[in-house]
Amino acid sequence: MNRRQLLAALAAMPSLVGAGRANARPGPFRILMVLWRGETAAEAGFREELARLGVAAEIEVRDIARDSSLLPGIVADIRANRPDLIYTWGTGVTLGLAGRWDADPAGHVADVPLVFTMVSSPLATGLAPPPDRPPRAQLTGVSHIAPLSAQIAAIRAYLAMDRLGIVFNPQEENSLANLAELKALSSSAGFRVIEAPVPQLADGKPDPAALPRLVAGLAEQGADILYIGPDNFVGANRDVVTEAGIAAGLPAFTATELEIRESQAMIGLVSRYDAVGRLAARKAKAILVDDVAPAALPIETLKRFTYIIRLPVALRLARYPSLQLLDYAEVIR
Amino acid sequence: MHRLLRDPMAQGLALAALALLLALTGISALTMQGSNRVLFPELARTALAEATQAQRKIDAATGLGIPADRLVGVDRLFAAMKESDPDIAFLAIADGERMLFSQGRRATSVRDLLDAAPDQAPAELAASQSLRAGFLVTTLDLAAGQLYLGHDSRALNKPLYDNLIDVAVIALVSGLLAFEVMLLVVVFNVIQPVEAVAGALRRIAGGERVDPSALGAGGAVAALSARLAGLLGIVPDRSGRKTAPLVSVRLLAFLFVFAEELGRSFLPVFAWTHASATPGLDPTFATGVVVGLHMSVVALAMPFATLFFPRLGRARLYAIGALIASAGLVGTGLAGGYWGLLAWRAVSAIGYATTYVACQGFVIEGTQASNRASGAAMLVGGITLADICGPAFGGVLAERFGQGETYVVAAVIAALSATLVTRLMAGGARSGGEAPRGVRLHDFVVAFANRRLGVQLLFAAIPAKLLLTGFLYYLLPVTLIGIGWREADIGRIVMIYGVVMLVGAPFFGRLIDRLNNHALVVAAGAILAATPLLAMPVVPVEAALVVAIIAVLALGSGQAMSISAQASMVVDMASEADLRQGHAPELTVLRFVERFGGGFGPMIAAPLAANFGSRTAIAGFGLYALASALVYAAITVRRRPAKGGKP
Repeated sequence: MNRRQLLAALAAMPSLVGAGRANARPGPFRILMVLWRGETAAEAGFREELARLGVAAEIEVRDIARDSSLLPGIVADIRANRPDLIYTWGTGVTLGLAGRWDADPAGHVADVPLVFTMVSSPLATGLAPPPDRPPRAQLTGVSHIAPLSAQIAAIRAYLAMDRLGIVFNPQEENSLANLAELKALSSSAGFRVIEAPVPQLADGKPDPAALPRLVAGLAEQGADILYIGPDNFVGANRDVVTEAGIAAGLPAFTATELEIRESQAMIGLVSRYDAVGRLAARKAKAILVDDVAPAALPIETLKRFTYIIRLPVALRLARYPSLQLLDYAEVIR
Repeated sequence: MHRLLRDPMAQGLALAALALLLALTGISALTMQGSNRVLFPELARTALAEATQAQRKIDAATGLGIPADRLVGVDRLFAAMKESDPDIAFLAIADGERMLFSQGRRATSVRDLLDAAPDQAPAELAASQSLRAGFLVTTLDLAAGQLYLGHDSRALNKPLYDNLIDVAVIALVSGLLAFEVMLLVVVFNVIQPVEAVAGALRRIAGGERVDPSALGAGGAVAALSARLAGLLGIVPDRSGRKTAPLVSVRLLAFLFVFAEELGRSFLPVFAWTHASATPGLDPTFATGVVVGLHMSVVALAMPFATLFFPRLGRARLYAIGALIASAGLVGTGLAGGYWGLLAWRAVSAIGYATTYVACQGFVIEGTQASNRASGAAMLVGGITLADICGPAFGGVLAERFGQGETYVVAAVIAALSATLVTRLMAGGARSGGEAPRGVRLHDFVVAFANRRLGVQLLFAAIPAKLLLTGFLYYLLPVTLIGIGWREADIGRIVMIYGVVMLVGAPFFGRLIDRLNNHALVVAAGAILAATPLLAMPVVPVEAALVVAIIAVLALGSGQAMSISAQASMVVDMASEADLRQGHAPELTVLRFVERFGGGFGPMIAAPLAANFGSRTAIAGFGLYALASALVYAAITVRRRPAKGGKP
């Protein structure tokens, strides 16, 4: 073999050696961020953590502004442009791009690594396969919701609870999944679920005007707590819902941050959005830089949650937190 | 009794014991007083700190706007405080005259307490504290109201009373040790020289020649001895080595057994710590092996130690044994892992066996056949005293300083005995060239051909030994520590066994002679020892300690009865030929099998306890011992048999 042939052979070698390491480039990596309602603290945490980990990334943001009809177009764009990684926010966006685990991959993205955040029930919504099935090859992510049993314990750490009232939008998959899980837990945990589904308007959308009446109805039926789940509609109308609760003497519990930090829920057991984003960033780094397959990265929640008490609501309702809770809860004054 | 009171020796001992008692009482009293001065301010400071912490929590809550009378969780706050400090009696929150919360005592009761005039307050109290009707009350202002925290002032005395029992144990052990040392000193300096002079005078009176070494006596009669030598015109011989009195064997036996017994009350727990940290082991069985190993290795090592006796002599053999035991004890205390612990326990057992054989040899060499029994009684006396003192003292040490550290102290004591032996076992005069005799193969052949010995071993001796090692050495410590008692408590209970054996042996000896039915006594003793154990699983936990004490009392009494009767029976089983030669193979084999087999007691007890609970395991042992005793009684007990029960 002469020198030229040797050089040609060496030049060809990376394509042989690197066959399994197509993405093991130093970067910058192209990340497509598909969001439900604009950037949140989760995305900020994601960006900061990537920077801290030294991952060079060009992040393109596509905000669908709560319009799911835009998602098929984004799928087509992904097929055409093939980013290195997709970051999604919320169940709706993630299902729209990746589909259920058992769905036909034809209409979805199946061959680009996808890291989701802010999905409340990956298993119940069908994003993740059942435990007896192998994980999806290109999907992993972070759920922001504390386990239900922890949520019930958090409620009971504050007040006695036998009846849990829930207002929900029956058109949302994640809401239905959450409700199903609550019902499944209720008998073993010793409480009853009182449901208040939001009726639809003529155009098929949920009716926000019904919310105060629904909440009052829960109070009349003897609910001890108004449970606010990972329901986007209820979240969008959180002020109405929580104020209706206060008016009816019914405190609200939430497992998501905004309802207590920016609205009038009284108790919250929440993940910090930025912490969720940071965990997602660490998964992204593992995929992009360390060449770990997404299937090898488990879908997980945070290990620690923040117990939040909104004190003005507690004082208004004359439902005071115990001395023990005050030792560790974050109190919003 | 009158003769005893007039005996100068007894008078001297009584005086010395009284002086010792007074000294120890004085020291203890001073300690208690000193403790008062240290402990009370400490209690007051703790009370203030606890009250301040509660004040902060309550002020934080009311500072958030929570009304003082609507505070949530005051009961849980009190419960948490009381859990960390059981001496807290009450917590009350008041808003002026109105008592908003009262935990631990009724509000009216607290109000009455606060309204009453305070008692005379010691200088150590803070301004916010007062003594009221047996309570130390700490009063702090809240942002909205007042907080009152009450401590039971009996808490002041609690650590002192806890200490008092430990002090009493140490006083007892010190007293007994001082008695042993005093006995030795008196014998060395008074009795032995006086006997030598008296012997010389008797020889003179009989017209016999006086040995110059007899007038070389020192001690209290040195002047008399020298004077007598002068009168007789004899140059006293002070150059010869003095022969140590046989009573030295008490102290020597006491020391090496005491060293080993220091760990008795906590060895199962100590062994468990190592066993459970070693992968691949069943920790319960492994713990049982450690506890039982010592006895079995002693049984195996003793015959070998007897082989060295003729060559080394008693003093050197004892010293070597004590040093080996010391090394074993240090190794035990500092063992880094399970296997090391096991090895060091075996080393310690080899040392124990060696010193034991040396002491046996000392008794044999220092006695004739006619007084050998009383010589042996001295050896047994020293061992029994150590059995009493060791566990109790060791329990106190372990609680104060740590278990490993206690073994190191034991090693120092064993080493100390090695330094004393030169003086205490001095002299090489042998009586007929006899030496201690270990068990031999031929003994087994003779013994196992004896059917009666088989019955004795199977249904009396082995169950008794298994009961001792399985229950007293393993299950009792494990059970009591499991329900929250301390090493010092367990040591005191184990001590009861030794006390009962010591006190009971002469009493039961007379009973045995009167009844003239040894088999009946053996059976009765075994039944007595076994029966209380059956109650252990059925009594409530609170009563377990009392039942344990009763069980140990019964065990000690029962075994005190059985052991002496059994020894007599088994000697009677020996052939005339053997007895004429001065040994009883049956007895030798009995002792060996008891000791070796006894080691298995903890190894059986440990898995039983792990699977069924230690209290059920205790009942299991009791059931086994009881069943064996009943079978034994059915086979052996006759109406009015000839002495010893020979058919």
